[in-house]
Amino acid sequence: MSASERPLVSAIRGPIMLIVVGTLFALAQFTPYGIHRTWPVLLIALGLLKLLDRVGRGDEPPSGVTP
Amino acid sequence: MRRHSFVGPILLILIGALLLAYNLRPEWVSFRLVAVYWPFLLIAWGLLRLVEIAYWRLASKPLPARGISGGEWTLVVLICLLGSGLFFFHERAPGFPRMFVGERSVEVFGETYDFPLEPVTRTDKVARIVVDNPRGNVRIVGADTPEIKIGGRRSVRAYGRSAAGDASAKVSLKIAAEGDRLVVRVEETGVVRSDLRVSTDLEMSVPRSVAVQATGRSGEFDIINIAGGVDLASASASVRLQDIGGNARVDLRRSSLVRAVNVKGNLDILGRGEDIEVENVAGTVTINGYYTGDLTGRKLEKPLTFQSGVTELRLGSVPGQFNLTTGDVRIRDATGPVRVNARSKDIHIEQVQGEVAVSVDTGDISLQPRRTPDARIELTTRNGNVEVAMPAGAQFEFDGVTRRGEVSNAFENSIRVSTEGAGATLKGSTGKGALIMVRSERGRIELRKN
Repeated sequence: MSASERPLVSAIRGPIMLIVVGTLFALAQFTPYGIHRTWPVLLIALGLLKLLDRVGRGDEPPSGVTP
Repeated sequence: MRRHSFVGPILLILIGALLLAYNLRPEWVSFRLVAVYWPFLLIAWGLLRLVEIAYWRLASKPLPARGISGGEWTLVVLICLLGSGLFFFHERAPGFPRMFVGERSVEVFGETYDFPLEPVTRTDKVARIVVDNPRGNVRIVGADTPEIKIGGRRSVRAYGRSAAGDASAKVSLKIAAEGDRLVVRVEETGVVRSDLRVSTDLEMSVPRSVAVQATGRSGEFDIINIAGGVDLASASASVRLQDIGGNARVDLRRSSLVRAVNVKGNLDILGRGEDIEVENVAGTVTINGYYTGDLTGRKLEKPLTFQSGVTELRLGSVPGQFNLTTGDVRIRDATGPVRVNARSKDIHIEQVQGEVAVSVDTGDISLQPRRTPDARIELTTRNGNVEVAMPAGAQFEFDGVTRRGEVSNAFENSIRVSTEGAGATLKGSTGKGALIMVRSERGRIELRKN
């Protein structure tokens, strides 16, 4: 992924998390898997998106020291 | 540059359209629709935003730093809280079907006005009675008479008698013979004000030999002494079936109680609900759906299959009784194959014959066969104690393993104990009998004499 694609990952992170949240609540309505059981999926999704963001950054320094 | 999304306005239009539809055509928008399907609003919101971002990117326009802003996340949290609250009420409060204020205020402050129905007697020779009563109770009693008698009352919840009378006049009872069926239908012939609640309770006496088919949205069904089959479907109902000669099928989206006593044919119960009681059923019993209450059964001659969420219970036949609650399963006097699969329940089985397979994630298991086991018994728990009580002279083979826990053994002469690390095994045979296999990841195994 090139540097120009970096904002794409940040931009889609919110909508994807929203879809995951909606899907978990829908599962809670129609299956026995309540949100109290499935919530770790949110952490996994967030982790995956962060990872994608990191991969996109490649060898650049961490964002905290970027000028 | 901050890009303005079109998703916000679209959501506003959708919510506005929903409220407008409720005001103009209240029957289109039910409480259930909103309470059950609201998560799809979040999914649609996310998908629309993804489409929007894809469009901006293809058009080489600058992308937003964050797809969903902080304010929007606050709105998402509010929607989740509101939606979960609505779903909670939808599940817990029977007879609470619409979401807006008018009808609720009439339920709290209004009064109920009753209007008796004009009794009708028909002499049509029919094989089947079909009843459609959207709101209200239905009681059908079979009798040794060729006549069909229909009566009952209409109840209107309103602020005044005249408003109640107007509403009552707009609901009528239509009775028509169609081939070999008699169709009894409660219909709205005019527009009933959405804030008034009209329900019709039907009381029918029918020839015993007919079959009964009834549908509704809310209300109770009471079907007694019918020789033919019974087929019931409702969005929300309690059902009592008694002395049914044929097969019975009950399909409910929500129920607080389904009770079936003395059924000669097969019994099928499906949907969602709370308590179920079945007693004296000659055919197979199949219960499939999602049930949160207790299941009680007595005197079942043929196999029972119960499947609800992660809990599965199968019994070959039950001369005695069984009871399934949130915390445990108790079976007393049943024949195999007995199969119990559950996540978190204690299982107590007494006086059982035939094959037994019990598997629980967390929970204790106790088993007390009536005599020497005649088929394989398998008891597995990941986290819990297992207790097997055998008659003193019983012949059986035992194979018990706990990975972490101790064992106790009352059959020292023939069953050997050995310890391995934190766990232990119990192995051996008292004679030529069936195998009892016990597995526990963490828990005690006790083999005692009865």
